[in-house]
Amino acid sequence: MLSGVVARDRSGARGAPRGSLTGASLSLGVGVVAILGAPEDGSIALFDVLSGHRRPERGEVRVAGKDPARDVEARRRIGAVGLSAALPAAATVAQAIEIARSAHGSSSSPQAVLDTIGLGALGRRKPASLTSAEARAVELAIALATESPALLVVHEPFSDMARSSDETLASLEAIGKSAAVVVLTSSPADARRFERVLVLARGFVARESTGAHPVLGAPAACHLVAWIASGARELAAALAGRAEVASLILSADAPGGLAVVRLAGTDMDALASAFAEAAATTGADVEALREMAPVTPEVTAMTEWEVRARQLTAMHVAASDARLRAELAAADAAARAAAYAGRGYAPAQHQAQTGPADLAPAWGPAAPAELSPGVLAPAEGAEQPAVEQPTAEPPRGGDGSEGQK
Amino acid sequence: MSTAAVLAGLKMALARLKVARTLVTFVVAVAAVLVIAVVERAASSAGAADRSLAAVFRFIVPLSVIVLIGTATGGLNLREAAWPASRFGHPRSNVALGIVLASAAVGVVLSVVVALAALLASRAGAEAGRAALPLATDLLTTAWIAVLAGGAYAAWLGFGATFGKKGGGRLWFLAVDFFLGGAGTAGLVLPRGGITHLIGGEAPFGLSQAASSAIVPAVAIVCLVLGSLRCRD
Repeated sequence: MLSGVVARDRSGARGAPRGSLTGASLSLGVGVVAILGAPEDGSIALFDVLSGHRRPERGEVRVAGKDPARDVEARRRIGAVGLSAALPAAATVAQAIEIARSAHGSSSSPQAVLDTIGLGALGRRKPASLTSAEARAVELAIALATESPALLVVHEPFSDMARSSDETLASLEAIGKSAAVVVLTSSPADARRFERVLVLARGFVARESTGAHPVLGAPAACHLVAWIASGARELAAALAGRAEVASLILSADAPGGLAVVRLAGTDMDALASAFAEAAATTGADVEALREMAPVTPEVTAMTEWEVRARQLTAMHVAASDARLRAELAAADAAARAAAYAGRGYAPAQHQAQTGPADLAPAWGPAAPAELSPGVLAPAEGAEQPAVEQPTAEPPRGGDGSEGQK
Repeated sequence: MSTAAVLAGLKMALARLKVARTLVTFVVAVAAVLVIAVVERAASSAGAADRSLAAVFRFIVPLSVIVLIGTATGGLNLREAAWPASRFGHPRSNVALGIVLASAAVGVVLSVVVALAALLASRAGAEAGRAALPLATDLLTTAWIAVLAGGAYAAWLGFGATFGKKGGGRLWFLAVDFFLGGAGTAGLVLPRGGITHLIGGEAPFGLSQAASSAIVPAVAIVCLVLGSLRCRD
């Protein structure tokens, strides 16, 4: 649990902060949650306070009811894998694991810890000889072997890790059945592997999305990418006329001489159906097809948009509240004036200042004229902010092998 | 006090010290004292051993130990250096204590080696009757002072490594010891004052050598405790 946490990391040059938390509050229970954010948004600072590495400058961090930066019992129940490995210095990897396990008084052997992730051969290596991916995998093995874990926090579990992503995902979900698992990542595609995604922006949790396909980009934006062995131009031409396709990019720069078709639309089912029909009609040889996760700039744009919308809504409510209070006060004053007038000694100016129309308060929160109603809530059909279409690779020009609708 | 945590700190620091830099520190220190001893003996064989040992304990040992502390902490603040073991649930203060103890152990070995090398080199070829003490007694006394010096400087500079983001406080502590560790009041609590007195220098505060030989380890223990406390969770 984090409450109003303000913290800075020291991962920049000469220990300077690279990112910071600016009042992050978060409550986690059993289960896996992905937190999407770059180091500049405070993801490293969040890792540091969750793992107990640093105390927050302000606010409170509790893991199993205790402050992990001060309480060793809390740290014994935390498994942590950071962006850069921090294995204890030792002659061999097995000895480094032994140092870690000695904190728990655990009886399980270092070899058994390594065998759980199929890295038993690393036991006799020197920690300094490990690659970053191997060292992080060893840290993951130690973290997964934590006894009665309360929290497992892993930074970028699917990149720079000497273990397959699917195996890592399965391990995290297994731990998530009995403990809180926090996955910190800057990749929207990796975050979408999980059903609960929090977006960390400018040091606080700005958005939350849950469900089988968390919405990270624009609410009604979906993207498909297909790798085509032959007939890509015909397929693109057929798709260009479809109403379901909002934009299309054809490029021939994929490895192996494959062409790549990228489609964007508002309805994934309709987009996929249009693609299937066009592929069947043109006889294009489709090698692979997958849904594309929104790219980071799109997620950032949506997050900024939502944060701004919330701020405007709050300002709007505050303004309405202030107006309502003023109107009620005026009505009260008018009523008092009327009562005094009935007794024959009312000051005349009260009646002059308040007319009959002023006595009825406006209960509905009227929007200030300067605010655009479309900005207040991302409603269905509301105009969405323009966001850059995701392009994994820039289209190559010159050879006439690309086209854009 | 968690013994497992202290052992974890010891093992970690010894693993960090098993690098070429430590060997180079030993070699450079021994080479330096041999040069000093030869120069002092060439200048005058009378008192050459005392002058050589003064140079050893005033310059060679502190400078070598600060390199050892930097290596044992990985060039980090002592608190940060303890993190790789304490992150798993070892008390940070105990791990830090283990790191300083490991540095002290290596520092003591280095101090004894260079001190004995200086003594032997400066006495080599001198007439037996000219020396103030028999060789065996001189060796034992020098070794004892070297043990105190190595341990005291490791504890003092280890405490210094708890200051600064990268443990740069140890440089300030070294500077304070160089400039204030004389026969004055500050020399009473600084390693340089007590050690210099033990090898025949001026007594800080007019104390006896017995008192100095008790104060030096006492101050070292206080530094160990303070350094450990500064790293507590």
